[in-house]
Amino acid sequence: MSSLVRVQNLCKHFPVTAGVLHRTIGTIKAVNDVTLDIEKGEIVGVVGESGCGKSTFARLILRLIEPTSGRIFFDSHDISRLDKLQMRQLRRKMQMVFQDPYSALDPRYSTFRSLSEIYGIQKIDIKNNELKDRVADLLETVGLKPEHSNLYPHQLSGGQKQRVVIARALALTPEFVILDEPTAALDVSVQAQVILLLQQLREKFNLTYLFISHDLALVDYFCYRAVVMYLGRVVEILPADKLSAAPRHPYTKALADSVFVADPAARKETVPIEGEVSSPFNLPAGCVFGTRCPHVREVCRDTPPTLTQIAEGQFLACHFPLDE
Amino acid sequence: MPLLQVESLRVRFKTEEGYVEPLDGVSFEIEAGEVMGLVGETGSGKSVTAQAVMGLLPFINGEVTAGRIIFMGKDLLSFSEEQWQKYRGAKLSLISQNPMTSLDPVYRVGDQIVEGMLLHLDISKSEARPRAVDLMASLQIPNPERVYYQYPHQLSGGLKQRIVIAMGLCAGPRLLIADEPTTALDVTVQAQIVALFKKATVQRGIGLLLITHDLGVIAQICDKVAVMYAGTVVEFGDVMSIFNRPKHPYTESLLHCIPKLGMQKGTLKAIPGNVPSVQTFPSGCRFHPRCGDVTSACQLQKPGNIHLDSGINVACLKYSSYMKGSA
Repeated sequence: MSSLVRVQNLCKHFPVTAGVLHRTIGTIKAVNDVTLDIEKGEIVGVVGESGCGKSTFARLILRLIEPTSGRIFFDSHDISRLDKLQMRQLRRKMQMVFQDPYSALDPRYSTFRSLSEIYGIQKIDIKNNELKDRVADLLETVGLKPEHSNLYPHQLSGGQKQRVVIARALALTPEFVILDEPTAALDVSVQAQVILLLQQLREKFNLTYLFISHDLALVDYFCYRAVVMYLGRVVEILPADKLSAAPRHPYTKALADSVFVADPAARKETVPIEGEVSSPFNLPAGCVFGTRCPHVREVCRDTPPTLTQIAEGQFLACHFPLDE
Repeated sequence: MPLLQVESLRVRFKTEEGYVEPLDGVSFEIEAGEVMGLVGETGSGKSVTAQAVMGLLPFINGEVTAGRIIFMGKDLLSFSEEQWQKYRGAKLSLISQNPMTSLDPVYRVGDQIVEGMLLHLDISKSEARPRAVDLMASLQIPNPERVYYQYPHQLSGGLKQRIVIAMGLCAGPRLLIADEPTTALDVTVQAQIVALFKKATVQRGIGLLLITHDLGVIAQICDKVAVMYAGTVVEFGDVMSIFNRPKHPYTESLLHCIPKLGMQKGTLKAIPGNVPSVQTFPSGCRFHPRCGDVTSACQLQKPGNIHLDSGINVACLKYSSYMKGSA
């Protein structure tokens, strides 16, 4: 198999402390036993409600935080065994675009400095005039003009800032880019521009994306496969276009049914699911979704379902899946 | 007679660099029992419109320079602050954007609902308490007696939003203005809250002005919709007609640039350019630099409100030949 990124049984547990002695009173299982293969050239979407662990998952893959257990392979290297220097070299191949372009750029850095800084950090030997050309190239790639290189973040619009952040992620010609809600802070008309740009760049540079979003329609449109997370666990992995058409997990269905379509003829008469995501502090013994699931039975409360393959590239963790 | 009628509203703000005009040409109407959506991108003037209707502009250095706001037959722009005290929160109330900051963290949530009742209704605290519990129950808050005594930090996001809605409804207003009430919520909870808004509006026969940037929410519960761009209502009318047969080029492009579930790949279309900020509003039609149907006249002439036969009001020079009555 030619997986670019392979994640095996990844866990991240954060201790919760209380009192003056900071005694540990429990753990929050932010990411719980996640296994995922990302093929080269694929766009994988991660969806779920707030607190489902999707951003923690992204940070774990880049080793921005250390996992509690589990292994991560990039290009068949086990990245948890790399030392600092090796890790820094590997980071050239894996980059991230953060959610909020307003805080991802230093307000005192011009666009040029934001984009050229990375070559210094990576200790790449590049001459000044080459650097200028390189930055101009990058700006052109993301649809900005050379004159933008002298501007500061406050002089750019939200969409332009996000283009600079994307240019920065591309500066070292990575193979794998994690996009953490890259359009959540943007207006819809600008969101479409950024999505179209990301599609172009993927084809041009043969990139692999992990796209984190809470917008199901966007994941359906942009991604090949979708990973649905709930309270730190992967409940379903399925082709993105099946998210609303043929979900097998009751949570995926509830999530897809909750999305309002911009068409008054498609109004929903009933509320698809009651209740809210329960606290991640005391997870139920059985299925994490058991407390809200409309099809819950006795076995769901005691035994957590395991994620099993049901078709090529399709996985499901449910005792009583919905009919196809 | 409509419950609320806003006509050619124009608003300016005093800033250190002089005056800016965030609203110019805002017109719409809301009937009782109806949900009207006000949709637009950042900086289009949605929240300023809400503040103008609530009479809050003088507190933030703003003033209405032209237009009318008629509510239940009364001209709100002529109100003194004493008259406003009797109306604001009582006859019309505002639910602002973030439920987390609308609640005082050190008071029990039930008491925060009762506070509004004591201020606007002539009742005692012991009468107000059971009313608050009833109101909470009607908004599908489980165990209202217990939740009454809880503090905001003990409640989930969805419950907090329900408490904020209860505060908005506590004095029995005729018009409720909700500014992005579901933006901070998860999608499954958003679906619950949106259903609650619809029910509250229909059952109580009140008007709801729902401000949002989410066209999905608009399509789900609104009867009418006003589309705003750069301080102007570019199109206003029945939600079915506007979604099925958008008249204004902006509305049309906006509907093309949101991804929908099950949408075919390659069909997403972006609107070129950026949303202008209040300092950089273009001359003439404010959408002309991004418009696909632009003509030379659009750069010079600001389009008036044209009433089409279908009942839609549109502000675009394309329809100048349809000009009938209200121009």
